[in-house]
Amino acid sequence: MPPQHTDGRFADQTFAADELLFRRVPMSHIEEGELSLLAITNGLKFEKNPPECTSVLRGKYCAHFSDALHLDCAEDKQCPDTTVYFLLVGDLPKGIMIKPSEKVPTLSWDLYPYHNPLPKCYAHTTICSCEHSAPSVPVKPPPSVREQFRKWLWENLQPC
Amino acid sequence: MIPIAPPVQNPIQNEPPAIVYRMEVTQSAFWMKHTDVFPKESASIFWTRERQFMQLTESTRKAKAFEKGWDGYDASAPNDTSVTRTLEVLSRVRDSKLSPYSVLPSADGGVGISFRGSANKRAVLELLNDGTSSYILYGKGHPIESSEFNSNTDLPRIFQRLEEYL
Repeated sequence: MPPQHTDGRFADQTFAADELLFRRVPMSHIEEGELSLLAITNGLKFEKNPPECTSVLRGKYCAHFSDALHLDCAEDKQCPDTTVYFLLVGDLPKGIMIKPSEKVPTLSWDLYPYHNPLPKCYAHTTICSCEHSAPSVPVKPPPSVREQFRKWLWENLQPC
Repeated sequence: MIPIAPPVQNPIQNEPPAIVYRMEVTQSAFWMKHTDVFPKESASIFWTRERQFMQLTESTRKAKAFEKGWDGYDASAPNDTSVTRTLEVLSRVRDSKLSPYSVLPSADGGVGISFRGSANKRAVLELLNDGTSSYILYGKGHPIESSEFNSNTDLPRIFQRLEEYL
């Protein structure tokens, strides 16, 4: 069964804490069962614009985690040497602190999911970052926070 | 009674093969080019390390075969700059006390040399396509430490930091 297409539906920004987020992972970067940090980009492109943030699929609109490998949800690319890992929405980190040496006004940062349906992939979602004091307003965090988010993802992505 | 002398043994034959071979090694690059004469199995620390670095060198060269989007999204393929610099850094690592675990493309575009230490400690040296280099120390239950460095001038300092951490 192909992944759900958007078919004119609006985005649904309500996420349950126990909802799963699926992300493709290259098999080449799983070494003795451990995902390499090198498979995760620094800060996962936490841009200001939510559609440009890190792509995942939300479990609520997936029939199966393998939807993440389907052409419709993989930009029409075959994913032969790729598997799928997941995160839990409720585990996304809150209150990541900057490094003391960084002189930026915001001290504390969060990750949050943003439902961003694509025409052939309604489940498409991005993981964005925001200031802890301004939830769901996407802002690119400073380098030390991006590194901590990267490490957090490395620690928390689990195989499906 | 005339004492019987013990049979003369060829001292070369009695040497562990690795030691005999080591006497003949002047340039490791020779073995990189002549892999057909590389010992297949050896308990020698010397040969184990030589074999490990030969495999890491091969992994670095193979990194160029990864195509854009290899991570299932839009990661760039390693370019000639990052591959060449990784080979240079690897040759410097070989002369240090560090033992890399693997070499893989980085999702940030470039190549990474990874290390595994005690108590789940991990380290990565990233040589990126844009010419920047950085190191990252991390691990489950350990705080992350990272910084950019100049791969032409800072390697001794970075190697020392990795040795201390791992």
